[in-house]
Amino acid sequence: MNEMTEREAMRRDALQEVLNISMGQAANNLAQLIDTRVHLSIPRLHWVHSKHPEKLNETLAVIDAGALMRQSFRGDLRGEVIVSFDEQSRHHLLAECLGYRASPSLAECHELTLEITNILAGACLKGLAEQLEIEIHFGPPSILSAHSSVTDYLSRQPLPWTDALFMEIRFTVESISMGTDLLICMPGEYTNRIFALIDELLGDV
Amino acid sequence: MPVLITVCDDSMMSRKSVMRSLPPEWEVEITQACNGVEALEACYAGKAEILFLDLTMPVMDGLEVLENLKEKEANTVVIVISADFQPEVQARVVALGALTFITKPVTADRLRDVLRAAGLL
Repeated sequence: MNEMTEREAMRRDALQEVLNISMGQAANNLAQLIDTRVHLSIPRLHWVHSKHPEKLNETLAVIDAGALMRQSFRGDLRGEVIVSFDEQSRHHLLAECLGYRASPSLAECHELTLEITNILAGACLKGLAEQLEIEIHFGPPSILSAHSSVTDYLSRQPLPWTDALFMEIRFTVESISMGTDLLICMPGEYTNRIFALIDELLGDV
Repeated sequence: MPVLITVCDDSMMSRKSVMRSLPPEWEVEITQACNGVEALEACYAGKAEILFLDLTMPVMDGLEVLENLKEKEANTVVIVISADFQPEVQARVVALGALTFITKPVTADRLRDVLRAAGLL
């Protein structure tokens, strides 16, 4: 492995570990709320060019359409978190866990997914900020689409970046058949910043 | 005689972080493992009196390692170091024979406290 590739591998490894620690907090917050175990995937990184967002399908863990939520963040880093909820998630079971009535309406289902988005994205961004010793502020979550895959959604939008880094983690809760893919999307201009922060972290290890 | 230690984590940064957090006065011989399979190889090769074990890993995860060690009644002392610290996970690793659980990121003070409490220092 040449020097540059080795450095890139170290940065990638470190960023994945920072994400892993952040997601552990997010999973714990969700587990406490629904009182059952949440399984976490190993974090994965994907680089996407705005001309070919469909290429994300080749590497994403899950490419099926589902409910798409977003939560933007700004501060020392900028970007957005996209959360995709599997179509087959049994919302009525999740609703029961969270104290809603047994057969939630569509509006209540949206409210639930927004709440879960806020819990996962909030904990994850807080974990990133703490470990990298930076400030990140995030806005409220909103619904991007009631039924779309991430790549379909990206392909339909004028994207405000040329290339972007997508950091992916999958949360699953077997007892309620809930599958959720969380993607932190960071435009290329901010990836230099996050890798500079990762370099500082590596210097401390 | 140095204490034989294996540090198992798929993240190189995390392995380095654990190794840097070990008490400097502790005489140890360290083996690194990137996944559960390598960790078990180290254990059964006699390279792990103490195993520092991550849970979320490719190839074989930490819970599978613990299940294997329990089934084989291995003598390895396992200290789990993981970002996944849900109560159910912590209870599971202790039930599978792990000595204790440390939440990532590990610090030298926390590691020293755990090793002292376990009588390993």
